[in-house]
Amino acid sequence: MKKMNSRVGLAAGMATAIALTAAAMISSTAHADAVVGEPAPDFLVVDTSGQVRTLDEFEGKRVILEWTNHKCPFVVKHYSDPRNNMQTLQSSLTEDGDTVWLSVISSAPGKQGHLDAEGADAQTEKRGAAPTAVLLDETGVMGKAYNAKTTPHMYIIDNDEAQTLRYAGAIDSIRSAKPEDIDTAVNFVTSGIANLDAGKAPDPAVTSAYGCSVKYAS
Amino acid sequence: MSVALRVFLIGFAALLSAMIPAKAQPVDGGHAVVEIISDHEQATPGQTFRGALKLTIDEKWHVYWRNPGDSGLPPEILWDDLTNVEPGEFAWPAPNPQPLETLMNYGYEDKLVLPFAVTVPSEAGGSVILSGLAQYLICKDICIPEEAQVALMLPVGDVAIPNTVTAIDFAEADSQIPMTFAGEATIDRSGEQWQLSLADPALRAGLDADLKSIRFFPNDHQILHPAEQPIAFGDSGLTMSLTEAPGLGTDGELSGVVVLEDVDANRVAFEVSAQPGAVLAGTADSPLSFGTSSSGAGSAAQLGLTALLGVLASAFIGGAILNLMPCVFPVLFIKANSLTQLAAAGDGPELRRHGLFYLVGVLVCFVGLGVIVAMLRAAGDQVGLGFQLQYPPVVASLALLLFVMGLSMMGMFEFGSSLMGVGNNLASKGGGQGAFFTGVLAAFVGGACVGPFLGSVSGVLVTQPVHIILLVFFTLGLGLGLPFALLSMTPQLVSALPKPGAWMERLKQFFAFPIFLTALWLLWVLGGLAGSNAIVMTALAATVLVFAIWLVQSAPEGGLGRLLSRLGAGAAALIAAVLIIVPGMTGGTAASSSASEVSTSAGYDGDWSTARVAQSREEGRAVFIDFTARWCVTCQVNKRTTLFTDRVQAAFEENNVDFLVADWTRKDNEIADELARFGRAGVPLYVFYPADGGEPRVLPQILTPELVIKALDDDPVV
Repeated sequence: MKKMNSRVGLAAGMATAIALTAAAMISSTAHADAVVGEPAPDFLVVDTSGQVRTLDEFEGKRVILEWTNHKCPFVVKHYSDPRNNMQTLQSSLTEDGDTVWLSVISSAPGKQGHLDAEGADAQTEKRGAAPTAVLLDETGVMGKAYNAKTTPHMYIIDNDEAQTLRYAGAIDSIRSAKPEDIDTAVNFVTSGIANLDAGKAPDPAVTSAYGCSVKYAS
Repeated sequence: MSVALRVFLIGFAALLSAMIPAKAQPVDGGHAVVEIISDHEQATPGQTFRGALKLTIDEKWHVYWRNPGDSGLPPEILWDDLTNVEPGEFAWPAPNPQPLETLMNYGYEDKLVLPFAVTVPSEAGGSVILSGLAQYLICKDICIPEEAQVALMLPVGDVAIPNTVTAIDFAEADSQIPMTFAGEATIDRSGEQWQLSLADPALRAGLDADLKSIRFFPNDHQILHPAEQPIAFGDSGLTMSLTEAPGLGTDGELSGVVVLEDVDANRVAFEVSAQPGAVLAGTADSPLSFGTSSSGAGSAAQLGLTALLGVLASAFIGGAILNLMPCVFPVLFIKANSLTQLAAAGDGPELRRHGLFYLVGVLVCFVGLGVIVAMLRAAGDQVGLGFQLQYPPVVASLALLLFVMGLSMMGMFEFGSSLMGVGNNLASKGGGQGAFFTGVLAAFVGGACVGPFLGSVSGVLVTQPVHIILLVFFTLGLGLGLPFALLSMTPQLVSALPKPGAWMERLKQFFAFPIFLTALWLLWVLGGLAGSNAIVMTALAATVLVFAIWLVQSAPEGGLGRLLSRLGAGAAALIAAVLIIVPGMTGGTAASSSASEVSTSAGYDGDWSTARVAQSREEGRAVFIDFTARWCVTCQVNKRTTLFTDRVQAAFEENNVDFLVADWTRKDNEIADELARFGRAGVPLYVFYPADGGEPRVLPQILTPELVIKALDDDPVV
């Protein structure tokens, strides 16, 4: 019965999200594009619990966005045992409570990496991931607003009032699908956060992401 | 080297050869078959040969270029410890754009051959071993990283033995590997859009081909990969507008590959490295677009209004001058004849009517020619104004027609009011038709002469859109037809002529002589097109035709005799028709070869034929054959950059090379067969037959002077 309720909640949430997204698209194109150094684009999207999530609600916190597709070899690289690179990043960065980690699935239904709420939660549990929430962006509206091209594709949004986008690009410096490369690569999320902690802008602030293409609806 | 060591090495080599196949062993990596291939079966110490990673890719899957674009990864080989040489870097064939919704990737489908150089150590014995793990990301809608353990062992011996099986793989890869860019390249980042400016004669030559696309593939991510790349061009080269990838642009150089692709999917690529600087002069004068009916750089160069008026003015003047040209002048005698007859008869209104009909005839014919020119151009043929006289049957028919007309004017017979009654019967209502027909004839014959006098106007034929072509042809017709039409409108003409009488008949007969001369001129044209046999055939056809006319003329009134005469005349006319068509058919090859002697074989020693090759080789001469076509962009670039450079021409001279051209611009079965013999379905193909009678060698599709000269100098292959 409880499960049933959560499903109803999810459906309602999705319907709300879609309606809100449509409204947002009509009413505002202010932050249509993700540009580093400018306010990050708004989003309205449901998470796996059926809750509608927006950027506004995280004001005052750093927000890390991670585009993911659990079947993509480049994503697998960063989640694979024993390095558990992505999981470690998630838990260590969100530990202090001042940083939010949102994993975004923009794969369209029927395409690789698409998951429903249950499937996404199961995946999180299976790989021992620790995101704040997993966002289900099956329409691709959020992904396209951020111009997310690959999985993974990483973004850091600052905790300032304007919610400035500080970093956009690759997860690290070695463009490969081989887990062993993680050991020698420079992680741009870690280095970016470290710079922000030190009151500096991430350097590099923009890189070209690498990975699988995001499987948007065609 | 001690005996023991030697024995050990031989044993080791034997062991290895048991492990590693001498021939490449393809490995199925999942969605591609992977192997290492080599262009030699045996190498010599110190030699540099080429190996390659070859991927045979499953249908609809793709792998990536060295810069994969928005997603993906390039293939690589991790060489392992068994490898006893140092393989060089991959030479990357020009990539294809792979748009994927909002993204753009750069890569390859079907097959990828990545050549690399290998230098055999000078003291090497035994074998060269190339062994490693090939890793590649292969994608359809999903991506899979695959790998394959691949190896190749190549014996090292006293002689180098090229591998004939893999030659095609290397040749295909070479044809796609970008040329070094010899010209000047700048990147101007001052505007909203970046301007990549390229000035180079070889690149500019490529713009004249029938292009489908031009694209810049960057080596890094400074520009947005999926963005459109609008192109402008000028006399020296082209400029491409690129969109900066926000946050990823630099102030330094921008390097990558520029690929020109023509409508037949032939591609030419240049490896470009642009330094910061302003847009180069003569590279961005007019926008370049790739429409369906357009062809090459010229097409997009829409004429400005002033330029268009200039072209039309010279077309009109050219048309008027045409009245005095040897090829139209005689035809005008037909017109002059009817004109004087009518004027002398004092029939002013009829005279004016004839003038109009004549003008309409000229215009209809010219516009018709314009339509045909446009259609042929759309079909890929480059035609000039005189194209209608390049077809032997047309020329033969025209000669016959004029001959018969001359006979008629001489009074041998009268056509009555048939379409051919060119002003013979003054009273007949067919006079108007006759005038119309005279106009058509004047334009048809005259069109062939117009080309040389109208340089800028004939350029329009290859560069401008259809409606401009038609407008130019219309104006040409106006120029040709108007003087005579105006003359017909002049009432003074009627009063200026003497009263009708016997002089009219004599004048008409006199006018027959220029007509005969015109027929003779056409026979001469025919001889050039299809040989002397064609002339004889046409003369025979003329005789048969005259016989047919005689049969009809001399037939008894009514009865069986009349029927038989008519049947006989019909049969004779049929025979005449066959006689003029046959030389056209059989003379076809002669026609094309003689035509190309005038145009395309300039600079060559002769036209290719199997007989010519055999003869030259018998004389102990080396032979170099350029299988080419006017519509082939690569061919034109190669001619410009290599074949007709002083260095290569001097080398041909020095080595007494018989430099032949096989022009495949028009379909030619003999050339097609020869291409097929070398495993090709198209041009370019460059074949060199060494002087010593050795096997022919196929050169890469992209030539350089060094490469050709080296091919001439090379010792014959063992």
